[in-house]
Amino acid sequence: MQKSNKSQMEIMGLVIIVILVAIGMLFAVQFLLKKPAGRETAAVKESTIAANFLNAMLSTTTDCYNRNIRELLQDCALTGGTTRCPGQRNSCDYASDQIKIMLDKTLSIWNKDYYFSIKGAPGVEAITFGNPCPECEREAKIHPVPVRPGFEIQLKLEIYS
Amino acid sequence: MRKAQIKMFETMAVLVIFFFLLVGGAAFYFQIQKSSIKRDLARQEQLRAFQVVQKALFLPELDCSFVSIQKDNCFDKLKVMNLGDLLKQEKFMIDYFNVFGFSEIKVTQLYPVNVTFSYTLYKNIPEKYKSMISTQSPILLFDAVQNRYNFGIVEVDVYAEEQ
Repeated sequence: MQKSNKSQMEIMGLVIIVILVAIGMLFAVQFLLKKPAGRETAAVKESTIAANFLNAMLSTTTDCYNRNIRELLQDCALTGGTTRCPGQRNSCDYASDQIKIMLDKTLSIWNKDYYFSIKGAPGVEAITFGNPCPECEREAKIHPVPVRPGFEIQLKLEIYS
Repeated sequence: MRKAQIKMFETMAVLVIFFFLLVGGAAFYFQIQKSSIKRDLARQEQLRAFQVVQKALFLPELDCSFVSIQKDNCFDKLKVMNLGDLLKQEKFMIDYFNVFGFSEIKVTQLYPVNVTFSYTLYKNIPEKYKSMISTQSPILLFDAVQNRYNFGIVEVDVYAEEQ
């Protein structure tokens, strides 16, 4: 009888230890798997910045016959840049320079890694800024710009964290 | 009798160790909870700062509208200047305290580069604050005089008051 009581006590002790260790491991796992506090809001912020940048940049008026960037890119995509802008640059080069200025004054100063690219026509595909990072965590926004019915170009801005 | 005493000591020792483990476990649990609460507080501050930014970006007092057509993500420069001057007066700043709280909102034009335009729309900084979260967002600035859209940013600094 005594032996039986002893072994029961032993097992009880083991059970308590196992339960405590399991609870401890549960808390540790929960703690380790949680994302850092600011990461969720940073992702939303970066997504908003990318969308707002593309939106604002496309509607910005330039000194090239008071055309906005959208119109210059449409001309570049359609004709390869026949419009002559100040400084004897064609619409593709001029639009590229103005986009670079805006990127330098915002994302570069804010120390954000980014990649800006345009797809849809040979003339505009040469306009890229930043370095792509396919394996990085990123927030990206794509803004389609119609050039004519059935033909559109797509601007993409990726901001890496 | 001796055997019974040894048994009693054994039981007491088990109980003492058990309560030590319990107290240790509870202390560990409360420590985890404390860091979890701190993380939640930091997240709430970030969310609140982002809320203020969104409210600033969508203020109807500053929108660019023409014949009821509103342009997204755009501030009218003349409206910015007038609202900024109005909000320098305390009675109007109090009205907007419910919207912006303790924060500073600045609108700056970045393009074209040869034109400088920088305006503080709202400024209410507490005497003592424990943290400040700064957010910038690109916006369009409509110049009604020259009828053109310029590129700028709105900077919102949200302060967490020290309690």
